Order: sequence, then C-alpha cells, then structure tokens
Amino acid sequence: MSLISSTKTFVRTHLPKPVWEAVKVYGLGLLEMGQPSLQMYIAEHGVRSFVGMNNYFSTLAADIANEAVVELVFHAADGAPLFTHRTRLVHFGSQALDVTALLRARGLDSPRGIVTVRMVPQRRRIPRYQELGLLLSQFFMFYRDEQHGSIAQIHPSSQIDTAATPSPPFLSSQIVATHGLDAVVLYQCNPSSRAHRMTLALLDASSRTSVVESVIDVPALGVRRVELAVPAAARPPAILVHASSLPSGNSKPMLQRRFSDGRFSMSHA
Amino acid sequence: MRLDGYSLSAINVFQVRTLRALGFHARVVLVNKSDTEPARATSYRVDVSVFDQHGRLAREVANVALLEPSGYVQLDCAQFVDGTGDGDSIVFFHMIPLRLLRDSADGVTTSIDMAELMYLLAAQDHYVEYYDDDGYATGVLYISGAMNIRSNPEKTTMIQAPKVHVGGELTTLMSLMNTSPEHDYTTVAELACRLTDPSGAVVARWTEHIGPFCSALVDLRAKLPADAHGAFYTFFGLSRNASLLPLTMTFDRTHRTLAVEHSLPPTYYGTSVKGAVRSGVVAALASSELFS
Repeated sequence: MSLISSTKTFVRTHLPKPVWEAVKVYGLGLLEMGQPSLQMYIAEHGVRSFVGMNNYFSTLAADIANEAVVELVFHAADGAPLFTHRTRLVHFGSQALDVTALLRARGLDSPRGIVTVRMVPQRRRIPRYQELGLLLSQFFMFYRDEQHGSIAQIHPSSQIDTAATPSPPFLSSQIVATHGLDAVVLYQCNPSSRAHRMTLALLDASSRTSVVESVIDVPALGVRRVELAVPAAARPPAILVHASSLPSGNSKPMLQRRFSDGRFSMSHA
Repeated sequence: MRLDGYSLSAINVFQVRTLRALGFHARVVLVNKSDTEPARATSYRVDVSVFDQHGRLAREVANVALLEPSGYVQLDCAQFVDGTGDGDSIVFFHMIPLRLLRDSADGVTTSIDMAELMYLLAAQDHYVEYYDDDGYATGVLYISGAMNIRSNPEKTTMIQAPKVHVGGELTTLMSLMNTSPEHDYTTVAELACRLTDPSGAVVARWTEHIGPFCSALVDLRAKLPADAHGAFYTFFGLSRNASLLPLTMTFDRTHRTLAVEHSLPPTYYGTSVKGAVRSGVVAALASSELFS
C-alpha cells in the first residue's frame, strides 16, 4: 500500500466526513484550493447567460500540459440545488456554457439563480502548482438579450462562504443618471449558508435620501430580483444604490439599468 | 517598506480612455472611501491631465474638484478632451491626498509607507461610464493605480480573457492603455496577442505596439480567419516590457449596446502570483506553445 493510499485510508476512517469529502475532491492537500466562485445566471425576460471559463492552470503553469476538471453547480432562486454539470477543459482550452440550453436539456425552468464553479487540475500533485498560492476558479458571465441587443459581462464577486457574516451598509460607487432610465433592477445573491434580510434602496445622489426601496429576504445560495421604478414625480437627475447590508463581504448586487426603449446595461454595483 | 520621493499625483490615479471611436461620450465617478479607517481618512484634490491620440500631453488642469471623505464626484470627460483632436484620448484623474500634501516639503512628492499606499489605492473603486445622448449608459468599476513607474521593476502584462463573443451584430474589442504617471515615460509596449478556440488551438496571432500614453482599440472579430465560424474565443496577451491596462468591450453595432469589463490580474487566480513567482509564470508562458 502506498503512502498516499495509506494516508487516505487514515483520513477516511479517522476524520469527519466533510474532511474526507474535501480530500476526495482536492487530493491530499497538496493544492490550496479556494471555495467555488459564483455568479448569478439570468434566464428570464429574454436574457440568456453564458459561463465563460478557461483552463487557467495552463496560463499560470504554461509548460505543464494538464486538463482542468470543472464542476458547475446550479441553484434555483430559492437556493435549492438544481443539478451539477461536469466538464473538462483541455490545455489552454475554454468553454462558454449556455445556461438556458443546460436548463432546457433537463426540462427545468429556473428564471434566475446562482451557479458555482470549481476548477481542479486533473493531475494535482505537481509541486509547481503549490507555488501559486490559494487557487480560485475565476470565470466571466456573459448576458445577452437578443431582442433588444442588450449585453453585459460580469466577473464573480464572491466565493461560497458558509461562515460569512453580513457586511456593513453598502453604497455603490456608481452614480446612475436617470435620463432615459425606466427602472433599476437589482439582482442580489446570497453566498452564505443562512438567509439574509436586507433593504435595497435608490437614493437621491444629492441629498442621499431614499427615493424608493424594497425589503427582501434572500435565501441561502438564493437570488432575488428587485425592480425599483424611479418615480416620475420629483425624479432626481442622479441616484445611488444603497443596501442596508450585504449577505457577505463582497456580495454586491448586479445593477441593471433598464432604459425606456427596452435595452438594458448591467454591471456589479 | 517606506517609499521616499513618491509622487503625490501617482498615489491614487484613475486612468480612463475616451470612446469616440464607437461614438460614445465618457464620464467618471470618483469615490473617496479613505475614511473606512478613520485614522487614514483624507480629502483629495483632483487634478487632470489629458494625452491626445498621439500620446502627447494635451492639457493639464489643477484642482477640478475637491473629493471629501465619503464623497462622490462625477466629471464628464468632454470638458477636458474637447479641442484635443478627433481621436481617443487618455484622461488621468490624479487624486492628491491633502493630508500628505500638507506635510510635503516640495508640494510634489511625499514619503509614504507601502501599506498606506496600498490602503489609499484599494479603499475604493472608481467608475468609468460610456453613454449616448438618448440616455443609454454602461460602464465598469476598477482600480488602475500607477503603472510603469521607475520604482516598480514589474513591467509585464498577462491577459487571459475567456470573454470574446462574436457573431451577428456582435464583436468584441480589446482596449489597451499604455500609461505612466511619469511624463517622461517613453516605452512602446509590445503585446503578443493570441486568440484561441475552445479546443485551445490558436486561430489568430499578432503583435500590438502601443506608444507611450496611447490607447489601442483592437477589433478581435477582424483578427479571426475568414473561415472562422465560432461564436466564442479566448484572448491571451503577454507583454514583457510594459504594464498595460486592458478592458474588454463587447459591442452590438446595430443596437448600440456595450459590455465593458476589466481583466482579472493573475493574483485573482493564484494569490502568490507576484514577484519572483510571477516572473516565472511569465517566462513559462512566453516560451510555451501558445506564444513561442
């Protein structure tokens, strides 16, 4: 019996189940893997979402030809896991996964939710990888509404964080001009393992007083969509997005500007 | 570590490009969250410098705004770039920390601890927004910082961007800025560029040369071979002589919609990819099948 298999047997028989599960996924601790990164998908109002990812191990250790084993876990808006999709990225390979197609293939109708992404190199026990530090599975989500031509591209702001504590009040660094604006739609996710109640508000950028607001409960690993119409009466020229607290340190909402001609733009708030 | 003689105008600088090439106006939101740690709070004086499409210093304007702790300032770039030519400009917004300016012997430089420098830089994102007259607006938050300064030997760029979407009305452009807070900066950045398909095969390879204080806007769809039918590609870029500021811009010409996104630096993928580790990563990438 090799040293590795002996150690695995020891871990399996002497350590708690979560530790053994981690060993099965990551190997014997030779790599420092971060929690899965996450982003929200949208599959409603004509919007399709594409998970764009590349084998980043190829970029960070280009002389080592290795595949990336990718696990994507899709959750419903209420946080319930829907399905797991597994794929591989060849050396310097990439993919853009069409979320709507994945949902349809399974007969699922989920208008929005979280997708978590975890990439692990197929061969893990390579000392060079250890020099890279904590490894995080970054990707980019591309959103497209073909009817109105709206597009957006947003990186993950969070990782799964079961121990997360709510953040202090959050004020976005964007100033939203109201000229031509129909509404602001906020997509809020919750990367933590407990439900989170929060107030999302649009503030007059000058007075910083609330123009319109909504209280939401975001389930663990869930997503909430909040549409805040800017009142026509006493409409300020510019507004700010405010949250009473975020579910975790950097789980900022996605800020969608909806314009009166049907187009939207979107970025993280 | 303490940095002596550090330029006050390089401590917190936000660099943006205009986007006349696509017909958009540009404006920025500068944010001061230095009071996240009250002991380090400072107000900023905002100075502006503009470089025209040829990389020539076209305008310098001091004290265009005062940015108080917890404050926001929105500035339209038109007031600074109008009259500087028809092409796209680079606009620097230098945020001069008044707390450090007060103690500066020459009013230009300061002695600053590295930890404070990083704090003041990272305490906030700033926002650049591209907009149309009808109200359509889109933008991205990022931190740019001072690039290509003499005191920092790290002058390389690595870009991995699995976000090139093309087809129909859609194209994706790569915006690249070659800047420095030092006005005598002269390096012409050389960026080796590759487009790969999902199988990892290189479908396009070329080199971009970007002059000092210039910006490039590369239409990646135009770089694809005529028989390319895919809708998704990955862009790789590697420079060993300059730190560039890349933004990916996916553009729908028919609907005039734009998706702007910054890149993620290598430390976002592997937290130790800096210093000697980064140098090793760059060297391995340069000699890899992708770039050799």
